[in-house]
Amino acid sequence: MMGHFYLEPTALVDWAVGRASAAPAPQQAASAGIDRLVHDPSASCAVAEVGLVEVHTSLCKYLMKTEPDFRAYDGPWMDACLEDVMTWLAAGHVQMLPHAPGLFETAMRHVTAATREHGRKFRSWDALHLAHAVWWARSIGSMVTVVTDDSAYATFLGLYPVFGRFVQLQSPSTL
Amino acid sequence: MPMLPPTILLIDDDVAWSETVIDTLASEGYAAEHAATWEDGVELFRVGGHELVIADYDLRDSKNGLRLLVTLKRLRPSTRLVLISGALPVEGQQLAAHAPTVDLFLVKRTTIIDDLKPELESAVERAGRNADWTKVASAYLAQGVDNDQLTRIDQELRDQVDRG
Repeated sequence: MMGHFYLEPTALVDWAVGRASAAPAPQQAASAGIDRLVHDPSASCAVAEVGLVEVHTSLCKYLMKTEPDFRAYDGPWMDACLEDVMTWLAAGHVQMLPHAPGLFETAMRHVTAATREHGRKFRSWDALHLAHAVWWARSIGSMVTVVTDDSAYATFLGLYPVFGRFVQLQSPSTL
Repeated sequence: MPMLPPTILLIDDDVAWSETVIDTLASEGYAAEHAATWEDGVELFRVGGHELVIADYDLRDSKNGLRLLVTLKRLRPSTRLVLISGALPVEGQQLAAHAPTVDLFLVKRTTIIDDLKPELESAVERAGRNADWTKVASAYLAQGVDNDQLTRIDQELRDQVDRG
């Protein structure tokens, strides 16, 4: 799977959720896909610091759920997920992107443009991830695939096709 | 560790001249990219990362050269905007230098990179560090444009280009 892949938090949360034995099929597929991707030496994978914060937050939300369907998402599950992510980073399977200068200013612009120019919502975290992925693509002079299940990105790229020169989207379950 | 993305955007419909400028910038270690039309320039600027825009006043597709700069300034107030022209007489050059949104006016000539040196160095320095929010906020507050004044100056510049 040659190329550069930005692991957006929803994809990583799908990966984590999919590790539980009783996980829904789409998350299991996402989990297997991301495992393949990060261990593929021809794939260059990256995350951002803000993304890791989001993953922590989402995993904690699963941990807090008390319904029977969520029993598998317990402390050991969360520990194992985070340990794996740290192992990827330590081994260099996934790189942590540096905090891009001007990132927040750029993200604010994306959020505002979507609403004021098109009357559409684009969330701040999504704008930050897009800005990160585009910054990475432009830095290396190569297309970056944003691995995500969040439809907000496709909507935004539909509004501003110029971003398609730098990033493309792929669902983790199709990796 | 990735390198910095292009921090300089040149908007000029003279493709051959632009290529020469971009190549020269690259040979001096500056990451720059080119847009040949108003629309392409705005779209490319939208993706982010440009600390310095060098825009030709006399773009064929642009009915209002200064409007381009207003649009860019609204998208990112802290970006420095340099207006260039080879078609304006001295009087017009002075007018352009004081036009709203224009941070610097330069005559378009082969040695323009020498004239741009301080702006280029400053752009690279800004691109490599986190935003200076005092400056970002000041630029945001200063972006208000007197539309009547802008239209008047633009018309005067357009007349001068047409006369020339």
